[in-house]
Amino acid sequence: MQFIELQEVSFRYEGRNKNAVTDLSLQFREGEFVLILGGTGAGKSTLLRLLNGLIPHFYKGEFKGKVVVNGIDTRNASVAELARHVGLVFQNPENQLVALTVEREIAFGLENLGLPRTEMRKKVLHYLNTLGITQLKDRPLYNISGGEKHLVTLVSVLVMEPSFLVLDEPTSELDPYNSRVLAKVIKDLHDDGRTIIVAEHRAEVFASFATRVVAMKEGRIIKDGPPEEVLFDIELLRECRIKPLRTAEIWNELRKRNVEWIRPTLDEDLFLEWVSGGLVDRGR
Amino acid sequence: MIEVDEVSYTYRGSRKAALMDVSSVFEPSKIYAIIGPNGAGKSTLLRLLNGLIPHFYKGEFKGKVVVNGIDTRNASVAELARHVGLVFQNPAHQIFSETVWQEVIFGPKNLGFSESEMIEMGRWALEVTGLLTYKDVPPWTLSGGEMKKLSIASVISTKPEYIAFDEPTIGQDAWFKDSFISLLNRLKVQGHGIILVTHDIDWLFDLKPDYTYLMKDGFIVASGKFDEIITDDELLKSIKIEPPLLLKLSKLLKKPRERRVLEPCEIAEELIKRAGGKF
Repeated sequence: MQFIELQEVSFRYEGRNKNAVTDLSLQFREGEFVLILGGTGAGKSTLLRLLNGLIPHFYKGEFKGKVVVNGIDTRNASVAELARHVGLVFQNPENQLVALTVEREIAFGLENLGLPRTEMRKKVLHYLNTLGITQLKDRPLYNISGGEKHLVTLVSVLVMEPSFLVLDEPTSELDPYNSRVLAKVIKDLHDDGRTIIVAEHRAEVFASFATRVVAMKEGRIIKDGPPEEVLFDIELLRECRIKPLRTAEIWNELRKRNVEWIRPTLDEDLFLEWVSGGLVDRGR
Repeated sequence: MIEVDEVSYTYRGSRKAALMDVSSVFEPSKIYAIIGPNGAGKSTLLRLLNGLIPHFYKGEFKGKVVVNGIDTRNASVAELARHVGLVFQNPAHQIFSETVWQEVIFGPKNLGFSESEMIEMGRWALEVTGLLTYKDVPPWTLSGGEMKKLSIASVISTKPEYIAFDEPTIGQDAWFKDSFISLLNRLKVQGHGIILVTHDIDWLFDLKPDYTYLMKDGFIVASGKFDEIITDDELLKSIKIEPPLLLKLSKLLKKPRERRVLEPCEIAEELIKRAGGKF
């Protein structure tokens, strides 16, 4: 069983007088799709950087507690070593893309592992194909769109075949169409058995795919539970600077009017089906 | 008033026109939204309004843009900045001073306002953006949301009659988006014309702009009241926008002719009415 465990972790960046995260204790387990929600400055990115060892190896500061990845204490392993276990996709692909062409970029991590050339090419092609972007293989990186760059970054992390795929606000700079495309790709990866951990300040993009939601505020975990439990709590979400789902808002309005429901759903399509199937005809 | 009159524009080195025969009008005390997919020409349209096109970007320019009676071809970008302020998508491209205060008075200083006017303008801009307490801190210590607000403050500090924003809500959390709506409405009441380029349709439901332009492939393909544009399924489909839930529910629950988007509370009321108390 693959797992990541944080034990009472606090971190303060060098030069800051406030902790970025405080007393984080939680586990990520194989097969989960964890959605970490929180507003700007909630500590989401810091939490993700703890998972692949960027903290404490790359970012300096005061580190307390312990992070264990598949049995390895992150303090005792290099970032390169941890990259085999935890793949982190940054918010802005520009921070991550280094090579000249798409294929070279994706092979970069594998080259560093010293993999034989034929095997490397096979893997690159396989994952380009998984995400449906084989046609981009020989294109120069400066000549592909923003949405495509996000997909390329994702492939370059996927080829390392990490046990945990970690994404930091992957859709925040994409338009609604490309956001949906990327969200679907990530959902498919989860369906294929990968473990997904994604941080977002928007609940709606991944709400219906997550198996667990963690809400953060000011560096602490405010709530951690099944999606329905966290996402129905709209007061708590607002407190965490997260816009509640529209479905949750409507259920909340119903509850204010003393309406008890039988099977509330947060999924927009199911909600629409419920409304059009049961309620619309009666009114007409 | 700003009048964009049959403007076509092609960036130098590009084979395709970024704008084709675009005509639009912007008035004070109104909030305008410009929506459309990537590459539709939205940002190019903004660059016309403060003269970045044709003065800063080179290319082939046809038609004319008139800002408060001034043809933009005959005025400098600095002169036009008194009328139209443009807030860029990425605040880092815009901020360069040592302190928040220096950043915010840079504009008024450059435009030659007196010391007392400068102080008044700077204070006002920081106050309406909620940044007054950060007056003396270096901009690089601000959070992403605060940095965004500073980029807004440093544009509105000169009190341009028109303020244009390129994707202001990208990467911002719910708290910022809500407080930004209050700020825009405040500016509107004070007589400013607001022009927003955005992908954030759901946020526009909360903002309720007065008028909306929908762009695609360099053309304005539709314009009108926000509710009218947004309730047109074919139009939305043409720009690859999935109609948001409130819109779909409004269609299900409303009389067919009524083109308005219902609020969550109205939807709840309507559901209760129809269910007759049985859930």
